[in-house]
Amino acid sequence: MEDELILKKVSEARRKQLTSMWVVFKSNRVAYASLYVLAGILLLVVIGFIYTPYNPYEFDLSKARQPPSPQHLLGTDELGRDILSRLMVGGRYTVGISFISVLLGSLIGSILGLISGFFGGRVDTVIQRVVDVALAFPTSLLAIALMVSLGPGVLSLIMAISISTFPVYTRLVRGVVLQVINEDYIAAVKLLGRSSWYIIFKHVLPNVSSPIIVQTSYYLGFSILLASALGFLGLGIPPPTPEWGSMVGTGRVYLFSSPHIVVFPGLFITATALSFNLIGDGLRDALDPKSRMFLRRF
Amino acid sequence: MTLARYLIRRVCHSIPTLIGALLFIFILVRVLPGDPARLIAGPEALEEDVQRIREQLGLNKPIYIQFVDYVSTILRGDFGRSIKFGTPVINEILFRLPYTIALALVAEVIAVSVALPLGILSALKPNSKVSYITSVISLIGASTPSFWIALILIYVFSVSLKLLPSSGAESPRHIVLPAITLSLLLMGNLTRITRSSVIEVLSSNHVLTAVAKGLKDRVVIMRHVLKNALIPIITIMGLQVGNLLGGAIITETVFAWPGIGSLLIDAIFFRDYILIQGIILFMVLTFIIINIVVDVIYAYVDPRIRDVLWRMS
Repeated sequence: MEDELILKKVSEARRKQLTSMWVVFKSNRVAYASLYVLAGILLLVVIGFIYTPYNPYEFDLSKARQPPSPQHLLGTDELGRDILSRLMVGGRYTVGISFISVLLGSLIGSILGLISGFFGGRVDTVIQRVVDVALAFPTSLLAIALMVSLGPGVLSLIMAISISTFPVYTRLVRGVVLQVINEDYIAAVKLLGRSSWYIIFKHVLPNVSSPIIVQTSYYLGFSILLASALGFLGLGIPPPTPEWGSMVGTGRVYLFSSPHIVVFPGLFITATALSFNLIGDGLRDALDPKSRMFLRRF
Repeated sequence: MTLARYLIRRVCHSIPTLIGALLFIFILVRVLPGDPARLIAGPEALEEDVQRIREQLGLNKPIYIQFVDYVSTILRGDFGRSIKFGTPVINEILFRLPYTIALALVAEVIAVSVALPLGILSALKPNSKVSYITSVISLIGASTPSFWIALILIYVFSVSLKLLPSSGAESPRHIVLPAITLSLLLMGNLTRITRSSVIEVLSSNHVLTAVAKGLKDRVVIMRHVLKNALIPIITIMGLQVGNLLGGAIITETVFAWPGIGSLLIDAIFFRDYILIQGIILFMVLTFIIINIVVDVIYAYVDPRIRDVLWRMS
């Protein structure tokens, strides 16, 4: 009976905490607005699965390089393809790949960080050496090197970005774990004879989740830039796939006469990355003002 | 004495990292699709010639011997010969390096001369116009793809206004646009760190004492705030060398700036794997060395850290 009462109080407290977080987040108007911008972009990308104004792959040279008009809202590219349609389809690559890779990177990185910080000893040494090596490469150089080695394609891109992002998570999570496991309450739980995994999931994980969430929001912005930079360099997904970065890459030849081919994909990349960064700022303030020190925005 | 000991200890610490990085680069190149010997010999070469090249490169030996060979040639400062140019890789790198250094230095100077004043001002006057501009600049760096900014700058300053050249490195004017592009990549973080570390120092007791003593604001800021705020700023500048190197790859490619970044992209398209391997290793080495230097400077400027670290070593 008493246990139930405590549980009820705990869940109520948690709900209150969540509500107050939401209030803080909402009070940051810029972050709140970014949520709408991001939702708008994602909506366009989702609609792109069912409907696009024109076929994004079919070219018609008689309509090449038209500036924006009522027929083609964002104009046409060098092969006469509708840029809006291409952006709607390309989003699933640029944004989708970033999502999956950061998810993978954060998952692998966080698990390694948990293990490293919690168990210490030799496991810790090995994991930290691996992380040292990964961090010895400038992030975009690491991604470029991996793309060269793995060859172009969606799968390579996901691997390259997730390998480039995991080490920061490992460091971050390990740092928080080392702080948490020295607290008295963890010693108490250990005395109760709970298993290591129980302690990790019940007591350590909740403490590391806020920095992970904030870092992920920043990293989503960063990986959009990274994925599109690889596309721009011609190392990403080969044409005719309309990945946003490679659209800028192939369109740059026509910068002098038809800048719109370059401007619109760039605006989409910027708007998406900007939203993630602003949402990250909002989340950081809402979740845990103390965690500012750890987090790294690019 | 203690400085030398700390330096040696720090260098020893990075040896495992270096070996790991060498192994990683070695594996990356071995995984590369296609037979490197066939690639060097060309598509029409006879099987015997390919076999001969394979033996020359040691590709017929067991993989761990190949790695030992690779490490020992690197230790002798031999990065191999470029497949495309036929010249030693290290010569190609050293020939292009001054351009990358010049670009990085100019970019860093631009970034610092914008970020420091902005960061300090916005820390002193939060919620002002300056603080607003500061957060916008800090966001531009973090949210716009640098290749796109580069193209926009070219469109505005080269195509429309015809003020500055858009590619090449013939005159000092050619460095302006690539340096601005690269500096935007650094400016945001630098401004943010300056701002937050100045805010932190401002709220510390010794600044309060200095103000209470009746020192002028300018004196307090120059003598007490800036000196202490510089430590995190230096650290960030060291960490940003990675951003500089990565950013240089893209910036140099867009502006056809003949540094090692554009050399890497060229090497990738020539499938010159020995050159690729050499440039990646060179960049990683630079990054590791600069991190050591930053750590040493860091330990040197902050007496608290200095004492602890040197007692340990």
